[in-house]
Amino acid sequence: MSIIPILAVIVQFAPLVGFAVALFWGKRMGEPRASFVPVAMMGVSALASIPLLAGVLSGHGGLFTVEWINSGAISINIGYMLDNYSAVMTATVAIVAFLIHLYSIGYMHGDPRFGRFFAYLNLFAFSMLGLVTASNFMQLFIFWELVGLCSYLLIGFWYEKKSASDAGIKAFITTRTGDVGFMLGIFLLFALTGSMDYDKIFHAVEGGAIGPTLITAAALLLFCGAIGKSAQIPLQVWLPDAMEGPTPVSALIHAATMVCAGVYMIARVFPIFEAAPTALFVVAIVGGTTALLAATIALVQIDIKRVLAYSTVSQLGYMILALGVGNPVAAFFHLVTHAFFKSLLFLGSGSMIHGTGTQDIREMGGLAPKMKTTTWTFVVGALALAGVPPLAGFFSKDEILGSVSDYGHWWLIVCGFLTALLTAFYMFRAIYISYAGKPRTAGAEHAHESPPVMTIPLIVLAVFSVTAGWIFFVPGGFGAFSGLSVFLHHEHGINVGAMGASVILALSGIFIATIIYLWKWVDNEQLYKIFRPVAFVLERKYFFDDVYHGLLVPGFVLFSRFWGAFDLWVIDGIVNLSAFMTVLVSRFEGWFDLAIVDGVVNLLGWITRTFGAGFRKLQTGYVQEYIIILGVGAVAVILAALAIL
Amino acid sequence: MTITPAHFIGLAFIIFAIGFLVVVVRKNAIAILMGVELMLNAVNLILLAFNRIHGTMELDGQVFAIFVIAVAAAEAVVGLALILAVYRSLGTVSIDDLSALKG
Amino acid sequence: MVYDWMHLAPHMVLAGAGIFVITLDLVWGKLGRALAPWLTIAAAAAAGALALRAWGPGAVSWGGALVVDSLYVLFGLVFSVALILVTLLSLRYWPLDQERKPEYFGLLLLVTAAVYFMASSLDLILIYVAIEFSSILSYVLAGYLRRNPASGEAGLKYFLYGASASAVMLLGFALLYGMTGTTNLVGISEALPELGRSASDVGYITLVPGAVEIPGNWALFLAAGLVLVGLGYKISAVPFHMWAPDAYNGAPTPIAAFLSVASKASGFAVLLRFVLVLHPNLELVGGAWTSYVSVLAVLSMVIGSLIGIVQNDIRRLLAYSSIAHAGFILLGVVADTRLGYASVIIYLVIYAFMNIGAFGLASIVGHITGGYELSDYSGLGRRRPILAALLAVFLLSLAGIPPLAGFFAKFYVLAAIIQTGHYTLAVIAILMSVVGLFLYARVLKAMYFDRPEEAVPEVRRLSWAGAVAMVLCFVGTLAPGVYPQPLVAWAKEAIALIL
Repeated sequence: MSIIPILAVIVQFAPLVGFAVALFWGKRMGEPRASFVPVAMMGVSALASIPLLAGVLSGHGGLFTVEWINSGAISINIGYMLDNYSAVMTATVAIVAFLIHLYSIGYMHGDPRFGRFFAYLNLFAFSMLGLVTASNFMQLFIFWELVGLCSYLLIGFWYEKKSASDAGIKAFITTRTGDVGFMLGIFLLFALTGSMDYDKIFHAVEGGAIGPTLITAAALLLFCGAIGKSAQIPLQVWLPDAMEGPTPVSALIHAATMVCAGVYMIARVFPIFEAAPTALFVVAIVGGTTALLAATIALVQIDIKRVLAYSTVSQLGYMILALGVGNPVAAFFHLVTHAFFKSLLFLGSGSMIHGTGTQDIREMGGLAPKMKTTTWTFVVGALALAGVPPLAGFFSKDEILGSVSDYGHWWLIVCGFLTALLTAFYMFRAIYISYAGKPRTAGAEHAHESPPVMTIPLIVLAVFSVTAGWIFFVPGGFGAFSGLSVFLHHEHGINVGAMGASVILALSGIFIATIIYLWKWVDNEQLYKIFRPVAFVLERKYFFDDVYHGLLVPGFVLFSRFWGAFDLWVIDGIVNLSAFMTVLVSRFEGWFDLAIVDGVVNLLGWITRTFGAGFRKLQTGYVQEYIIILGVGAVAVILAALAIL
Repeated sequence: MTITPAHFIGLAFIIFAIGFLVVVVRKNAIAILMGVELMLNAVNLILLAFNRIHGTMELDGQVFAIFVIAVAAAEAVVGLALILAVYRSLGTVSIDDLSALKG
Repeated sequence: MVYDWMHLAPHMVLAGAGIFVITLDLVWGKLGRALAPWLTIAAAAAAGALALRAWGPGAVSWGGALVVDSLYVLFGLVFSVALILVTLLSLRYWPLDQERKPEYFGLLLLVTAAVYFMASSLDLILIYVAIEFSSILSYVLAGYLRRNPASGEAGLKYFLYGASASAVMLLGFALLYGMTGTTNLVGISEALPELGRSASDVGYITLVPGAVEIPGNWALFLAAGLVLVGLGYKISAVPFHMWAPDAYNGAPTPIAAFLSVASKASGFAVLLRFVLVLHPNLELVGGAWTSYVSVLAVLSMVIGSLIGIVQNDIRRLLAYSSIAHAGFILLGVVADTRLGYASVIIYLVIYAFMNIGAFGLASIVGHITGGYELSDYSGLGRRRPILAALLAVFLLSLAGIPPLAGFFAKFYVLAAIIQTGHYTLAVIAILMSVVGLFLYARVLKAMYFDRPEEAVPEVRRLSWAGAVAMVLCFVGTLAPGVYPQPLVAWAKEAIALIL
């Protein structure tokens, strides 16, 4: 047996050990000892993931399955599908998770449920690693639900805070809505092909065993799952609220790994989508639109974590867009680079929050000299996100934009490139407001750098954020991402036009932000004058000037606001309505339970207890009576036998 | 009338029934033990009679009977030991006093 | 080879170790006390390993009295595992501290040797001696706590019941011998067709000269019924179960665990041996023989589950649960197919781990708190979260909740009887597993939802040996649930090799 599947088992199950230890002994061990085993186990997992990655990239991967249950008609295999996709993803998840575990030791300092937090984080890591290495839809779905459960538990970790527990429930309900479609999609595929295994389903799809309508339906149903999990329109509402959870959770689950599960899933089963161009077009439109809308909303956010949250939604939109235009490799590439720089940014924001005690960027200011490490790593993350060469984001984003240009749909091109500009802008707006200038509050005045246990992960992640894209230069390195037959744009040359445009857009976004927020060259009046002819830009100016003061302006802002309102009234309304319905139904159910179900159950319970008590009287304790019953039993058996004869 | 091996079998069934009745009726644990011995010896009689019917070349029945006698001896030893132990702790060998465990 | 000592190696290792341990204790008590448990574990492991060599379609030796085949191997492994786990549990079980412990382990070894014989004998004489051998030692072990009146009562009642039941069974054996003229099961099987022909063809068998003469096949039913009494007593199937709750209740709890697993499994080993050897010719005596096994199965499931619900002592509760499980296992025999017999083995292997786990925790909690009532379990989830979680796993597995192994045990039995069209039995079995859920849920409720009325003091400490045993049981309960395929494959192969 090859070493590869053993490594995979170690990588996946080490966190489960940590989970068990932290769950059972976490409370007794106290802080910080409760974190030792979970963090060490995550370290084991991260270390083991590196030889796993090396092994798979050098061609020793494959499908490793065992027959789990075989009883005639039902035959289910379980196992690992270890190809370039899953190996890269596994390594990314394990390494990022390890760094975030490390960071959490500092961040969760003093929390009463310190051990419990690590237990959940470990359970999440276990489930996520199971998700990425799954070899069939059944395994995928089980872990898909498990990561959802962990997400719910961790968003609501501080459940004393009502907003946190509400956010947890909202996330749970919203993603579950998508999961319904996802489950139906899986069942449809199972009904069509008679199997849950990826390879068998791909085989059936490539062999043309499924009609175009059904395959489109299946792909769209699967996409529903991705919409929920990866926070795409119209189910994006849960992700910003999910920021109620502790910041390491936001970094790990709601930026780097779990929210990417939808993207990963589509990339994983891309042959199914490949066979359904209509579905792919829908995917592209949803992704592009999400990218743009989320970026516009990010412009007006004043909570540092919400800026990052909308940014995450926007970047996920990018990945979905890349999938939609038929370049899963680019989507996957961006997923990996994004995992590094976005978790860096989140951890950086966590460090800021830790240092100042606030999440509001208006209450910060002038942090740069006080929090040097946090500052430079955050800037590196922002540059990577903006897509400035030679940082990681540049390569992956360029890949996506190149594919979008080749695809040639005008709306997608607008979305793609405009988002690039906005991304650079809103990131540097946040940076200038929080790090530059003078401290605006006492909290910012007394800000302090975080302990090394928090800053070291920042530095490591910053290094990854810079270098993760350089795999582009490794001969055949980029091709290494292509594991399946999905690599359409193989060795696709650099799209110089798209690259130039994206760099220029990113730099101009940064430049505009610099002008407005750092150098303050333009004040409100001036901007108003310059851009007056174009109402659009005019309104935009209003918005930038007055955002601190909470003034609302029409136009672009209105657009953002509209989506905010949509979130607030329509989606929340639906959620509330469904909550109301749930209450109503559960009241009815409660009555039904009480009157009917409980009645029946109680009756059955009464009957069994009565009979039990009756039969019990036979057991008198007198052994001679036992022997009489034995004799009677023997005679009865023999007479019964003769009667049958 | 000639006594055939079949008569022994008939007698053995009657002895077996008596043994069972003793087990079920007598209250003294030692008497019950004797009832068990009676049942076992009834079976021995059956075995010997059957051996006779099947001919004297094969001795399976007789061998079986010897084993049964050995087992019966072991059983008697253990039974008496248990009765003694109970007598020491409870001061009685009446089986009706042993009904604390029930239900 | 006619007298193959290698076939007897596991039996000899166990018996030899047993005698050695007892002798060592007599000669050099200190060393005996120190070595006994480890010798026991080593001998159990060695016997299991030696038995493994016999995997195959079966080799007969010792004048046709002994057979070693794949069926025997799997049963032998169950016995060895049970012995190891029970030894670990007994190591620090406090009531035993006042008794002679090396002798206790020696007796356990000898019982195990006896049940090894039960699983591998092919001759009525050897079967009878092995059954008596294991029973007599079990009586001693059940009554081992001389200072505890309950233990004495359990031992004596168990003895009287067992002696009567085995005397009845012996009568059945004698009749079988009388009808066929041989004590060898293979010979009996070959003689069956003669008896099976209709009453007019075969002579009458005279029971009472001139008065009671019965046709040969009637005599066969008489004999079969009598034998079934003895086996029913061994596997504690209703209505031959009544010794079990009292014996488990009074016996040292590790012994209850051993009796409920190894003793029951040995009964099934003999039952399977009878059925499988006689199988080619059983049809001749009327295909309906499975129907009275099914009556025992249904009675066991129903009565075991129902009485179990109203129990307040965990040992009695588990005793009734084990009676209900005997009913479930019998269903596999009722199916009378390869899958059915394989499911019996699968069930017994899984049952060994989860039931020793449950009894073991009863023993450990009893050791720690000194109590076996359900009220002693209230709040255990808070006081001892790991013990409670382990007990919950074992109980849920016993209840057949997926993905724990107990589910697969029930799954294969049900699959077997549904395959053969016994739908009524399947419905009853499913209903009774729901009732069984109630039974186990009472313990879970006590552990997790009830608050103790007064603080339950912990009088003794948890022993590491018990903890190791529980971890092994946990693994054994979890592993076949997570990955049942190897166990299923072995069981199927074992049956395919001999049927």
